[in-house]
Amino acid sequence: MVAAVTRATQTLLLAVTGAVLVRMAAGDSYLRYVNSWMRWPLIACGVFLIVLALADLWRDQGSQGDEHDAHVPRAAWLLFAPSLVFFLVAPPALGAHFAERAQNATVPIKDASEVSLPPLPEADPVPLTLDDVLFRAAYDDGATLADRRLELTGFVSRDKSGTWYVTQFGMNCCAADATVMRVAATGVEPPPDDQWVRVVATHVPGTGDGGVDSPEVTVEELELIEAPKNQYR
Amino acid sequence: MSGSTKQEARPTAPGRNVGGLPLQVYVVFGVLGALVVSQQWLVPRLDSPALATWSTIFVAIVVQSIPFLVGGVLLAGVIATLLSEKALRRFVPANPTLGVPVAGLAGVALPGCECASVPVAGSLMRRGVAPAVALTFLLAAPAVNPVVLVSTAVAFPDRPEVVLARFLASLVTAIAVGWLWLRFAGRVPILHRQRGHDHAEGAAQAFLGSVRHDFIHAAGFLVLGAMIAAAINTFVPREIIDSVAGNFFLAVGSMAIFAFVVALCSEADAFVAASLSAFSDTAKLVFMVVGPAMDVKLASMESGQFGGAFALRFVPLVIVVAVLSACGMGWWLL
Repeated sequence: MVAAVTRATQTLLLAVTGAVLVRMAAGDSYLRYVNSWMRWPLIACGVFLIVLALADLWRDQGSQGDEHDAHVPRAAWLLFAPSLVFFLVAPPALGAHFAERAQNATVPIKDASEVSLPPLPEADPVPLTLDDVLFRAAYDDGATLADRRLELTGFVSRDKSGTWYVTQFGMNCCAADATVMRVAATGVEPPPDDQWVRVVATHVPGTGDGGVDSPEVTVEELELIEAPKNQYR
Repeated sequence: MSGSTKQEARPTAPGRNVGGLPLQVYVVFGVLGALVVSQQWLVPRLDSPALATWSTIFVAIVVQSIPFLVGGVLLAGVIATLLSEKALRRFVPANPTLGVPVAGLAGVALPGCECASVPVAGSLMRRGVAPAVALTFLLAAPAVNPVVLVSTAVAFPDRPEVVLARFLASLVTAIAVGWLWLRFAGRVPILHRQRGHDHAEGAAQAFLGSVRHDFIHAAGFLVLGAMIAAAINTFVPREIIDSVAGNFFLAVGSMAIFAFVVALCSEADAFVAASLSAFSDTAKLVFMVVGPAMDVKLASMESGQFGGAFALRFVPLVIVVAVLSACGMGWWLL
């Protein structure tokens, strides 16, 4: 049997949860879990929870304790769990383990005739995001990618057959709805999983057409890089 | 101080008192401190990719939801403190049969996520609003508000019929459940968690007390739901989810179950639905209609707020009505 959560423990619960939220949003670690616009809501919410805890301390000085508030469900203990997991496991941004399981990002399926893709900018190699590659490969047989050297950034993941991918997660709301964008890579020895890389590569014509399978690229140059602050797109 | 010492003499208060505070808080504080100090030693030992993925998703769901939950309990606190029963009666028709559709449409105007709407509904009931009316609001507010509709329109570009189908199916679900509840479940006991009436308190203290109570009450269940949803996301093989997409009944059933167990925010679920490319449009609609109305996190919060007997009836009712309504709209519009 689990002990009832006393009023003083409830206050501690509020303070710890608030402090963890502020701690997360004050640095960059919140970016591993949620969108960047969540920073200020998280700080406001964390400060509010701390104020709520402090108000309670102040109140306990004067008023008589009350008999009702101690009766909260025992499930309230679980509120310690996210704070503990955050400190003990320090969950990283989603990586190669989840890439094999996550939903593939969808290329918006439109009538091909309605899509007019602007030509790529002049640079060589031309930096391109993975979602852009997926989109361009899906239409016109990847005509806008033809004969161009692309500079792509992402982390390394593998599927069961051993093919390796330059990978990035897209996030709409939080990491739970992350969708995976990835481009199969050939031509060089793959670095270990989760290593961030910048590659210069060319699109293999015809791959990724219609947005069904991942496009393939032939890698010419590979550079190991630090993970960016915000690893999602 | 003397007052709080007297309180701790009750049998449920564990442990002795140390300086007026129960022993428990010191034990908990000590354990937390010890864990944080041993963090350097523990972290490498907890390093497995599956555990890391689970904890990332778990923390993400909690972190994403808590600000919305706080917003909801603040709104609930405002209702509890400021809105008198008389004022509420002016907005909500006295006849619950009329009140149900009014509450459904009120959901259009009030953007709230589903975690927020549970304490708001509880607060409305305490203010004397008929349960069926409050429940309709609970179902409508997270499902038909402008934020959700816009995100659906973004997720399904050039498909306004999907947005319309989602709006209508969710509204029909909310109103139908309200009327069914009114007709058949009037006697199902709903726990009204009473909070203390400290008459000595000022309005500010009463407000803070209400907010604190509602938050602690709901947050534990939110965490439980997030744990389950993260486990499903991490540990159920994707092939199992994908292989059922072909069959209509299996697809609809599995989408309903999927929506129930993954417990996504209603603002985000349209993107997930859109990404389930193997499934038919109707199955995706089922996912988007069931999700905001009922999921494991909501069921957990509702059984905490309104009691187990309530949840046992309400949860299946909502799921069945939502699936039927989504299938109907899908057949008609998509």
